[in-house]
Amino acid sequence: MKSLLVGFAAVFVVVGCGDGTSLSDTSVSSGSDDEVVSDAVVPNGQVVDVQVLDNSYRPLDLTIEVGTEVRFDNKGRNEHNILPDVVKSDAELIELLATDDSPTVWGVVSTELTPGDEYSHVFLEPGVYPYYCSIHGVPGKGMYGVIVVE
Amino acid sequence: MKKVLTFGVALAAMGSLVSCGGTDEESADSTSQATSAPEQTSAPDTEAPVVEDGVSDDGVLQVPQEFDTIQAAVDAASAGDLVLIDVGVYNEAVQVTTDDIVIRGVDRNAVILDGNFELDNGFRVVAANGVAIENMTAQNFTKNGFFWTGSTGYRGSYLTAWRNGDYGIYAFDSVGGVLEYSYAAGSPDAGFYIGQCFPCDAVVRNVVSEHNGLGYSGTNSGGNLVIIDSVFRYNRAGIVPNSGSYELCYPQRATTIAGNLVYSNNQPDTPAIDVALLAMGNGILSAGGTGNVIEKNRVYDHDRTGIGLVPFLEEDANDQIPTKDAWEEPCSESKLKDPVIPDGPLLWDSIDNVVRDNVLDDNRRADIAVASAGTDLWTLGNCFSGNTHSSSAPLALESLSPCGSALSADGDWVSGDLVVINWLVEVESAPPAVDYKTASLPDQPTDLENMPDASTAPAVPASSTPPVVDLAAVAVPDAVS
Repeated sequence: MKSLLVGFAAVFVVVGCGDGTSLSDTSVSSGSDDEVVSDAVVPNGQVVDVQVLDNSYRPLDLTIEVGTEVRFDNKGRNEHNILPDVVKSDAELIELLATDDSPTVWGVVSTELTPGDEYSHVFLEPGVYPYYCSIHGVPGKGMYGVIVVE
Repeated sequence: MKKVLTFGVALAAMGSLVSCGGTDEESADSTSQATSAPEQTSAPDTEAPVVEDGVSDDGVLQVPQEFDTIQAAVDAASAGDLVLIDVGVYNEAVQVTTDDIVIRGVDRNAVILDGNFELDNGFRVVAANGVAIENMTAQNFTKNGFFWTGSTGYRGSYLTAWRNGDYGIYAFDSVGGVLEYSYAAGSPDAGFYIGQCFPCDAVVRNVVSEHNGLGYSGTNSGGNLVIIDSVFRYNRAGIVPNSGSYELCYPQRATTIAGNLVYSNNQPDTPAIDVALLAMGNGILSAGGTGNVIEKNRVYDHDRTGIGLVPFLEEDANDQIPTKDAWEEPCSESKLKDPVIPDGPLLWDSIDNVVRDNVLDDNRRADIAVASAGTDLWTLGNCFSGNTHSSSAPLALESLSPCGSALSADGDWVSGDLVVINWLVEVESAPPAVDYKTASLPDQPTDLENMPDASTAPAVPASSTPPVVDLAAVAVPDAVS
């Protein structure tokens, strides 16, 4: 599971950067504002950890530089998920991930974030990325977090 | 605990589309769907509820008479309203995000939310304050029967949680609460749980918890938290407060456990999380708990300890154990601190607990016990006085650590040691956990006490100030004959 997810994130990286054109001039909806990205962004080698506890993400708010990898590690006793606020359920996330390979689509379902599991994503687009655990919260309440990519 | 290894251990007199009688044009129009009683349109002296689209505005939202689903009624409710649910089985998972509403069944034993082992929570209250849920049953949910999280002011009264996949009644990161006159059975974690709060300002009273992994669990909770006048029986383990950095606001502290009847918590055929397996056979077990008062409980028939103060061993911990000077820090502050990841496992010792005036019998390993894994016991500051008991670990525990006296290394702190580290080995041979969907349970009770006047009592949202408990009036309960 861990390697699979890391691999999945890596796929994003490859998709985002591999052909050198996929990120250019791409209109993306990340956070509240649409913006046009004119320059391709590559991973910057920085890794930031977020603890996934019962039932909190720590830190709750995180600001990173574009290209940073955020590594979520389930350090609790229960399963959790990481859903972008626009997604209502694991099933919706699965569908989204299957149909949209843009670098701003991210998250992991609960069956893949059981205790001890890890999930990583490299944030290649600036923006505000609010997320939550649908088991223990709703967007902005309960178990939730925000990543600001600058 | 899959990864973290663990411790050493309320109709309202309403039927009343009748009172459609507003004299204003709007209300007359809005009652067009009501077929009743034109004579009612003569204006009463007091303002009468307006009915629109078949829904009166009297502050009582009836299910299914006015709303097809509980969720629809909850979504339409405003602060101070009562969602009143009639007899029936409702296959719903209800989410509540509105402050100060009351959700009540007319009959605790016949208003049943059933998750059919597919839906997650019977009720999930997310960051809504003052929500009271009363007089109903939640069963067969994959997660919890009743769940509050991030709430200030909560109350669960006359609730039955039956065969739910995580907790029965669960209050997390919530303060100002009351769980009362309720029953929980058949959950692998705890029947009742209050966790991640300090001060919690909460009371658990007059509840019965049985055939769960744990009767009560409280991780990192405490501060004006009282568990009183309740029964914990036939669980793997009875009352188990604990510390651990897998949740915020550590350590567990300052909980009063008083006047409870705790017996026969050795049940081998329950669903169980790993902690329940590890804690099996104990009545009241503080696992890394601090500053708790355990008094005037009757505790009997346990394979291990009646009342045990043991450490919680946490591997792969997420932060350092806070020093004592940080124990008064409210949860709202401590949870914002950056962690310092420890190099190795943490041993959360049970510290500064008071165990007094309990009546214990037939707890086969020891009626009262304190243990650690490497820490000198006398340095932990736990005290034991006035307990009716016949065995202890160490052997002369009350003599070694009387309340009100400074403890010292003097005396035999070794003989009769609990050797709690062995529990980590013994858990391997514990009766395995049973699937909560199929675990053997007693016949589901159908005659549990109802809330008085459930159909007519006014809505009283939950207060953020729990009732004051007169601990001096607490008495040791009688044993079951």
